[in-house]
Amino acid sequence: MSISKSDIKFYLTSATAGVKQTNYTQSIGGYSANVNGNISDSLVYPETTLATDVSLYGESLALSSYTDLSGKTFLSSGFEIIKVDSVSSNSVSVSQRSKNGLKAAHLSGDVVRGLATESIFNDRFDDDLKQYRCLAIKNTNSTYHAYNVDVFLRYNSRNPNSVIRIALEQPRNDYITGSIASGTKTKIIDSSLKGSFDDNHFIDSNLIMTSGSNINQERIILSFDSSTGEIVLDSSLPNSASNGDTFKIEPAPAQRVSSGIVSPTFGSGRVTPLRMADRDNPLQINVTGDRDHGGDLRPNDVIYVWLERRIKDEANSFDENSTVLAINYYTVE
Amino acid sequence: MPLLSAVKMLMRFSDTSLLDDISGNQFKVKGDDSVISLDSTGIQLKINQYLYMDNISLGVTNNLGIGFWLYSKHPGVTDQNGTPKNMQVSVLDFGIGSFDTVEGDVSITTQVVRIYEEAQVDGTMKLVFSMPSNSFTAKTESYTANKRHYFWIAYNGSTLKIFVDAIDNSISTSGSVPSSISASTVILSINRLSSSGNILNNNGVLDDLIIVNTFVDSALSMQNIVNYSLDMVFNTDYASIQEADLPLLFDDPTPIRINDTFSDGPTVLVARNDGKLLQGSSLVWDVRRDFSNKGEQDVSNVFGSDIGFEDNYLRVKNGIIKL
Repeated sequence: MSISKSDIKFYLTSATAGVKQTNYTQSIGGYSANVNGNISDSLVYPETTLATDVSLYGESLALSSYTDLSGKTFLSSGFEIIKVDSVSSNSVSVSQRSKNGLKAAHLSGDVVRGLATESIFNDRFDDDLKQYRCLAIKNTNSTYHAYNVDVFLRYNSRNPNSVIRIALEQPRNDYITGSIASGTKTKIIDSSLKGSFDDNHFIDSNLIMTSGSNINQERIILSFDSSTGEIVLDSSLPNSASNGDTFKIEPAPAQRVSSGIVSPTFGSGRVTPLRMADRDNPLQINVTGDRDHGGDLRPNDVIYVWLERRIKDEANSFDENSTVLAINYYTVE
Repeated sequence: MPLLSAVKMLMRFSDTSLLDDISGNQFKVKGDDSVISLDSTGIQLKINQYLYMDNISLGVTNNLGIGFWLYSKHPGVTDQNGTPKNMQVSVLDFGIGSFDTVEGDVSITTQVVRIYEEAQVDGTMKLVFSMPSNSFTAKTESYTANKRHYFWIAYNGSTLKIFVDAIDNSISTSGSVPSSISASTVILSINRLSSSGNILNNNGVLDDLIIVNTFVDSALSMQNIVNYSLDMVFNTDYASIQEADLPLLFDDPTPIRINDTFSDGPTVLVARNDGKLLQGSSLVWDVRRDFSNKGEQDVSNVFGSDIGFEDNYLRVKNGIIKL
């Protein structure tokens, strides 16, 4: 067994850890908005799976459950966008295959997403006709890794007057789990962390207690002392942390901008420069060269993708434009 | 019949690596030697021409895989009354034989495999895989002509499958699946009229032909070949690669530029490059700079190709003011 494509999920981002994101224009950095325990929250698009195989020219789709896609007239499977009659049941009639010019065959179990033009981007641009969004790519498999991960645009834009560029932002820390040696309501000590990470390596990350009297409590990490393995929380837990209590630390947040027309910082620190990043020149997730988990997305790891859309001055409107964000990885080391 | 990719033909044997073309072997042309080169991406055969390659050591006994893209063209043949006729359309064949230099033609003593299309009277096509020396035939369901399809034939001595566009096709068969296939050293032909009777040369396009001595029948393998490339299945460097995609859908608006503004106390008149004159709050406009019309009020039905302000007067060129 190994990781499968359906384990790689794409989420919106949110200013606050553990809070769902329902507003696309607010997906502008911060935390992956996937709420603890529910992998369906804050997906970029609602999704389901195919119930049967679909050939290159198939004219109908059978969904396993249509509920979350009800009313959608654009679906995607793999890299193909398909125009359909409004979804109202598990049996969906196709009105146009390869809406984005990419043709594909699809198998039972493949992920199907419900798209809409009025979602990811809006009509708000800065003076240079640019706007920005931040998405989180997450490995939701609890066991298997995605190795040597690259991110690229399978194709850029169908509109020659509109250009998409992407940048990757590596979280300061990747996902880890730990066990408490001793603690209070505001501090916990995990001896195994001593000397393993730099001071404040986990700052701003979301810590979630996974056992003990504080189970499911979430707190933001204010500081981390490498010499002692001590983590200071932003507010008190209901009870003192006890020896043997376990916890998990989510990947650190990305930078967050004040609006979608404010440019994030690119090309320094843990953020790559903006690139058109095609298949031959992808972006690699180990941005700094010393990412905790190297070039791998381990279970619950996240990498952030910044999208910049720029339209040319004097361009005409272009409906139903699209791009395809792709992630390439190995299933074995 | 045009063949793309310079008739890229890949063969893989258990004791060799995947080759991009047949080392030491070249396709030869039967008939008029001159073929039409398609910008170095392939060749186009003229009528009555076919390609052949002799002395190919396939080494196939029990496992065989044949795959190719085919742009299928219905020949549209009718009888004298205009009634459509079922016709065979050649694709490829291989058998035991040689090229007869006297006759100037391939001479087959044992026809091992014939693959051809069968044009249907309703305008569709079916693919036929035949092993004549074993009296076995498998035929696909109908598929649409004038489209590019991917075919994969998988044989392992007990099972014969034909995938059309990555999906396991419900084939009809005649005879029993042969337990072995005699294809040690064969002569391969493309677009040869491999039988007498109602058979025509193919007017379609063949691409990415591969013949392997491996039984490949997984739906995932078929999807990888069709959606990505042969490398995803047959190149060990790609064997463990997966790619996950997220298509993003959006409308691109017309970028609106402000030609001119006129501020009169709490309100601002905005002349846009799309010929509209709008009135709004200067504070809202300065802060929002939204390129939609929402919340802004069209002023007095004024439209023009050039709207602006001069000396506190409204200037409208090539436009109208509706009273």
